[in-house]
Amino acid sequence: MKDLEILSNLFEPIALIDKDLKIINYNNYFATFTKSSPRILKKIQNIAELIITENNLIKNLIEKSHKEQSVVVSEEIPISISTDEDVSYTIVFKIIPHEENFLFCINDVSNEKQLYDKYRLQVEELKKSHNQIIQSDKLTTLGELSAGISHEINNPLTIACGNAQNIEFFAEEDFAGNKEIISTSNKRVLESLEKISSIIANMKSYVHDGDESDQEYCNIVDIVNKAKELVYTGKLKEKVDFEVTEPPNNIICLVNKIEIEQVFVNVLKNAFDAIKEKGSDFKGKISVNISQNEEDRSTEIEFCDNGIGIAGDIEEIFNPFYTTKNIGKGTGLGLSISRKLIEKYNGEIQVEKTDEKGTIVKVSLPVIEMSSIGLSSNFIGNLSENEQKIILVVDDEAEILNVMDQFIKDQGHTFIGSTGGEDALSILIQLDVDLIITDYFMKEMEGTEFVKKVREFDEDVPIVYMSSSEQIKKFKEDKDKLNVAGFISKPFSKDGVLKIIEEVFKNKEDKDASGK
Amino acid sequence: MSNLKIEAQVVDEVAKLLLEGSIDEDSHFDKITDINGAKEYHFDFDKVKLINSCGIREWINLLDKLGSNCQIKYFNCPQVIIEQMNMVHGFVPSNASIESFYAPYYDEDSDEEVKILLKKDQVKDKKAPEVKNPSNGNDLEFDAIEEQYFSFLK
Repeated sequence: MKDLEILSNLFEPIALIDKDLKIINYNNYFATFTKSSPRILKKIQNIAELIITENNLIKNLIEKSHKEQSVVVSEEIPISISTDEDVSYTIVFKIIPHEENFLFCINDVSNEKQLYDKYRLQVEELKKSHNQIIQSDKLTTLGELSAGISHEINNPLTIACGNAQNIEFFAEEDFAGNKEIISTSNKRVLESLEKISSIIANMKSYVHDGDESDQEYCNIVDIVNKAKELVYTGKLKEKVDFEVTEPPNNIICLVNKIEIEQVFVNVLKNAFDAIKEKGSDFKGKISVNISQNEEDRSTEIEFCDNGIGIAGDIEEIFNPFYTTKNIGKGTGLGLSISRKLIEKYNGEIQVEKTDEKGTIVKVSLPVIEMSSIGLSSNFIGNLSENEQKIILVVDDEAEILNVMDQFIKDQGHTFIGSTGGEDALSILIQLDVDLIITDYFMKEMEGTEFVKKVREFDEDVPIVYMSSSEQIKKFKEDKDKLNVAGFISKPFSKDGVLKIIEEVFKNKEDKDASGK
Repeated sequence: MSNLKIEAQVVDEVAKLLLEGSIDEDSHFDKITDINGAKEYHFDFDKVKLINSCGIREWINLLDKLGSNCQIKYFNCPQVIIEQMNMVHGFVPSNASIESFYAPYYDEDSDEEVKILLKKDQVKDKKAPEVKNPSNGNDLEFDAIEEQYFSFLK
């Protein structure tokens, strides 16, 4: 029994029991945990009388340990103690065979379980509040922009009304004779209504309270233009020149486009407000430059204005409820929310320069490869071999990446997107993939060159070309020479893509099995 | 939301603190740390029902904040507090003492479990004093392992 004396120094309830569950001995903490004095423990014939579980669990564990002569650990289970049935515990039992008997160890995880449940609930509530703040910021912004937006709606509405009256007039006068003019007016009515519909759709999409995990491949220029459409309205069009410098190639980011649009709207709204402060006669200018930083391969969006600049400490403007605007104008939440949203993507938002000549705000977002791997990394960790595969798709069209993402994820595979050959090669250095599907015509290099580079360090990974059907000859040329496994002809269907993927994997398996 | 109620009274330089409820991760002791200039803190644990591992951590943080220049006295410590004192180093720092505490006794004749309030001086060499059941005058027997239960009395 010397062993039990040593165990008495441990802060874990431990008892020595026989195979009939009779308590032979116990350590001090066992008595404390079970709230039982030696007098009570002496009377107890069977440990299951003291520790109440469901379905004879203790008996089953002891039998298992006895049969296998091995240590048996239970799952986390709820129990109660007969001496204090009002309190329930969450515990893990560990049964250790010891000579003829068993050490019955109790790991009390009640506190951890309780804290976990409590904090999980609190985190969920925090997330909910965070989303409500973001939503409220969007609605406030939209409210502030409503005058300009209503002006934007009024213009096409006036055109539509005028042309509708024209139609009525000319139709009554001589429908057949005025057919051409009626048709033109009708076309103008439709165009105007389409414009109104587009403005309303943009507003609706902006305030859409979507799931924050709705990330997709987006062309960053499209998001800038959407934000511009919301903010650059009404009289601002007369007073401010707005210029967007687009990059020569598509710049695609893996983001929730509504969140990023919210950031851009906030920054642009501040820029317009700063310009307004310079007086009604001042000719404002806003330029947005979108570029790729070749050094850290991030996407940079620079917002430059010639407004009055920001007074005070620059870092303060990213703090919640800090505003340099007059009371009643601005909630002081816009930039604080913007920073949170950008940081969520491991990006940055900062004021590059501000003085009386204007302000430059720069937003940086990581290249999609990093976001794509980041988004998939948890999933990759759980992949079971041979079932789920990692598929890298290389294409510089956001829509193609989104469609392929959906197809591939629906099949239970992991999708990683890349916008060009160099970026894809940098992924392949970091990560083993099971299949590469690549657009043939890419900005930096053609498919053949890309495959040659891949083959320098990976001879086996299956590669499939994706291009218009005229390029099938490229596939035929490279098929044997560079071991290109297949060709997906654009436009493609889901079934067609999945069939090719399945065939490629099957051929690879057969090849591996035959040892070739 | 804190499950601990603290009632504070300061007389001369002695802060008398009556604790009620559970000491856990939500316990806030601002009411205690806000008392400036007390030389003695008397904690009455009589109405404390529970203390969990997070509560112990919070309690030790409180003691750190009070510092070592004051005198700390614990009164009416229930069994749950004694059990923690016996397990956790730092619960009774060098400037603290346990003045009174409850101990479990058993009345064999009436099959009754009784908690008896003892003063620290009543326990010699970790042996439980002989006491009688206050309700019927029967002799009581100590209902725990003496060496273990009184180990907080160094």
